[in-house]
Amino acid sequence: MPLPPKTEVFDTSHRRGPSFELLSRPAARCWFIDRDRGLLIQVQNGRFIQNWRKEKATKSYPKYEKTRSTFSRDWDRFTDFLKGQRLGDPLVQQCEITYVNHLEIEKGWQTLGDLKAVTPVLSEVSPGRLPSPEGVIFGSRYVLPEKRGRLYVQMQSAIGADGKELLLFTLTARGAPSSSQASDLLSWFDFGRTWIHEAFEGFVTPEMRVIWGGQKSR
Amino acid sequence: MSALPEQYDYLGASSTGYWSRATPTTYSAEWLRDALGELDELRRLDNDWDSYGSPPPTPDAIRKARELILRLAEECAPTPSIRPFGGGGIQIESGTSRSELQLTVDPNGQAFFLALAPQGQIEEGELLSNALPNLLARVLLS
Repeated sequence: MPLPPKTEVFDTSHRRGPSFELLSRPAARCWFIDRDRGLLIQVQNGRFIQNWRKEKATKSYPKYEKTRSTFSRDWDRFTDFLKGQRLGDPLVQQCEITYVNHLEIEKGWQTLGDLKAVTPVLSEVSPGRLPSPEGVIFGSRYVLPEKRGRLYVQMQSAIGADGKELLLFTLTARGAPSSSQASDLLSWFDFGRTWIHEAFEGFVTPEMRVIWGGQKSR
Repeated sequence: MSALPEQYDYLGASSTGYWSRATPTTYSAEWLRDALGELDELRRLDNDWDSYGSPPPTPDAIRKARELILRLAEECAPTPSIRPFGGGGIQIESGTSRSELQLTVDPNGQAFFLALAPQGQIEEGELLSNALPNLLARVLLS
């Protein structure tokens, strides 16, 4: 099914009421996967998404510059395709960049009751006589400078597909680019990524960042 | 879609699937960790555990069963019972006093379902990828 639209709104005079839509087009989200099985392009009406994940065939965590470059290439090819099919140029209303980090158990932390080695925000989740928690969750939201978007930070306990305990640390920046030109989209991604980097540095302890750096390069 | 880059393969449309995921423990069923522990125990079964020559569940069956258990927990299904199934498979059952869902994973990791809905209807078949939430909503959580 297609993903619902997500738009950061700042001017409350334009607050929207309930929305209704009559669908005359197929409600589909198409997936295209690369040969290494690590890169995914998702296309639906209203969204063009590039995802990366660590796969066995994928040797290491790619640097931002590399994913930026593959996005730029694939976006150009997609817009060329739209032009070739006389579908016009897309009007880009929002850009979004998300980092999903899996901080695995026994790599810098041992129990949910003792997370001060991971992050200062979850350093005291078992105060007094409380036992180690069964689950933890922390979330915060920030307006980015000049209202160019918002940054969402979430850290929560989770279990991975392999059954291992982990902390799911998700950082999302979303906002409007200054135009639909590819260069402005990339410029917004650079902006969003800068703030995600800032949040990662602030929320994760230096010790954990060293462990995480080693984990990424494997 | 022939104009898309050559290095991509078309994987499907209308997918409700997730590219990569983890199951948050703050929102999922409280039985999740115990169920994963039970599943882990099955790997330690001896050969011929059923006296009919069955091997312990295969790694493919374990992997698929773990995926199903995580999905059941995300949907807060009733506590499942998990047991080995002849030939290297696994069976997972979850139910209420009025309905029941039985999931069988074969040694190749393929899953099948048998559902007894509250009104007495029986459904069965192969459990297609991402079909579990709808099935649960129809059978167990309605």
